[in-house]
Amino acid sequence: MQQFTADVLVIGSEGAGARAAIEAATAGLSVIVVTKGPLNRTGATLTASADINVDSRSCKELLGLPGNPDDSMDTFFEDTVIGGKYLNDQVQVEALVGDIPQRMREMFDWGLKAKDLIRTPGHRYPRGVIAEGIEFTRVLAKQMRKFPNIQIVEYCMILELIQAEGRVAGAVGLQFATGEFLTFSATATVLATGGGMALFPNRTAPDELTGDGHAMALRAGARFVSMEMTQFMPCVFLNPPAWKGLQFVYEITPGSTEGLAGWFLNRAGDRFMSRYDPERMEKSTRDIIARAIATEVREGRGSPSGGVYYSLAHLPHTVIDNFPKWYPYLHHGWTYEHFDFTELIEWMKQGNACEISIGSHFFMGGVQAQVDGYTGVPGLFVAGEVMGGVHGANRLSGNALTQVIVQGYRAGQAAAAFARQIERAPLPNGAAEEVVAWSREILERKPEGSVAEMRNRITDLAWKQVGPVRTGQGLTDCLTELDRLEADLALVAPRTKDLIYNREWVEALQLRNQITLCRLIATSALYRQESRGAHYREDFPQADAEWQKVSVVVGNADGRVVATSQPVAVTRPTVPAR
Amino acid sequence: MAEQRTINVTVKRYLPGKDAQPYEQTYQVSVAEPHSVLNVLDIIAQEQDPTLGYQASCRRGFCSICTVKVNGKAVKTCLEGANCDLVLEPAAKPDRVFKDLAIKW
Repeated sequence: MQQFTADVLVIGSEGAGARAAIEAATAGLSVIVVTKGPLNRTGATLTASADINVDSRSCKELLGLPGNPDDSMDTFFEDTVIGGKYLNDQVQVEALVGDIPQRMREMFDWGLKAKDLIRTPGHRYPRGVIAEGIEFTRVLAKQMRKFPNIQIVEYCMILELIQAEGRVAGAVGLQFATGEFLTFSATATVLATGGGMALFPNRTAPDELTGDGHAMALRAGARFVSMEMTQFMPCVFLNPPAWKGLQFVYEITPGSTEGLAGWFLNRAGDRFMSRYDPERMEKSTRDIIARAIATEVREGRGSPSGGVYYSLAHLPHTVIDNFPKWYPYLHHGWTYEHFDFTELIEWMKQGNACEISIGSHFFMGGVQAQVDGYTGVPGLFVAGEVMGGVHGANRLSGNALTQVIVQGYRAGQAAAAFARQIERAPLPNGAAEEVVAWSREILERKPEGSVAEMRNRITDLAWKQVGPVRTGQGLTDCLTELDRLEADLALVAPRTKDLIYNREWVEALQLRNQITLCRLIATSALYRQESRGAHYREDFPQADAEWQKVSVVVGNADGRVVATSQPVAVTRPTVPAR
Repeated sequence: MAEQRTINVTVKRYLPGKDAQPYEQTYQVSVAEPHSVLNVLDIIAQEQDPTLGYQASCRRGFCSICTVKVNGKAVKTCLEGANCDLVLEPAAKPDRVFKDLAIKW
């Protein structure tokens, strides 16, 4: 087995991972960045459309953008905490709003260009610096490549963190493109593996986000905060397959008060939003629409593929044809992002309706850590979406990219400081070999259960029980079913035994992480007996002041997870309600 | 939007170290509703041939990892409609092929 050695190991290469690597390398340490795909062709950061929040005054004073000097870091702080329904870790929010002006200044100095400055929902001032996600990640990659002390290892799925001398001392991974196992020995490790949206069957995020980082961190002894807070994007396509997961319908209808007056219909053709938000109907907020669609489907009123219909049949063709001529979020006719929807619109003008559903969009919860990313597990740091707490119960638009560079920077620095203080602990004999043996056993055993079928069982369960509408009974059933799935996992194996680029093998290796991730979410969702932000319990539909605290999930000695609570970390007790 | 029909999908396959040289294999895939070329690859891998090598990540036209030569032209397979018979080749020379359509970027 090839072994790599460095002061700092960074797992994840795009937003937070790249920023952490740059900081650790700037401190003069040797850094290895391991990524599950090729650099700049993997992860969620590059898919951001993308607004990056900086308080509007700093936009004007530090970044030379047309910001509003009436804004301040304090106001940005308040909006973030109000948006997060007061569950945000305020120490982390202080870092977010306080650090970002300087972090963005660096991004500009490294070549990022702002295309616009916009105001998005929940913000009192224009704070959304517009730059494409792919440009953002390219700027970070270009900066990483300037450091000879950063080595990048691509196409490698990290399978497990390895501990030695009571701390995380490295990792072992499968470089699936070559079929080789690699070991990494490092003094400090930064996890920057993103969210776990691929737990859900429908999502706006990439395939590879299967919660590997969450599951490995749990096995290493990390704690989790606010895992019940999973953000959903309503109105993503379910059908046709070519557009599954795209949020075109959201963007043209509820995404703006000026959006097209399309209708959402259930299987009976009933305009069901009248029962959830009679005033705003299809222009309601994300969470209400997500809950409405999920409820229609749960109660048996959905479309054949398990969503609801989106119809334009009541609108004059003239209105439809003129819409893209003035609507700002479309270009070249009916093109949204990279997709041309002309064919769909023509088909809908003939009186047809498409099917839409809800996609998993973002994880507010994640590994609990100090503001510098330290997890409490010696040697292990986190940054970006895998780290929980900063967004509380809901994330404001534009705070995701702000999070990745602020937390990446801080975790990179903290990991470097840790690595300077202490000697590297060599990987214990046999630890990596054990992980390799487990992985090979999965490859080599006879497939009695199908990988795809097991993946579908897990994702269908997640959608049904930890989706936008939850119940106590459903969550209890979910935890039982997860035990059953875990037992059945022993039968699952890839059909082909090739070592090189064996997609089914990689998927099989991910399955246990997806089960763990689902268990973390179900456990904290069962624990929180109220509805707040992204978490909705049908049996406890109101917010409850008793629950002004965060859920924390920890692993216990017998490999189970249990939920408890902690007070919210507060720096400003008097954030006003709005 | 479209009637059910069957398309022929010819893939240039190659696993360096195992295959002496690239060869072609043709699959028949039945598609009704609009499918992307990437959807078609998913269907082949899931229902017909788990050994097929290809790449996917964002499926929204951003990451470009799914780029393949489709009927002679390099395109992102998530954005390309599967409307006719397809000839799929890797978007790189054989020395950059990991397996079939999966290449080193």
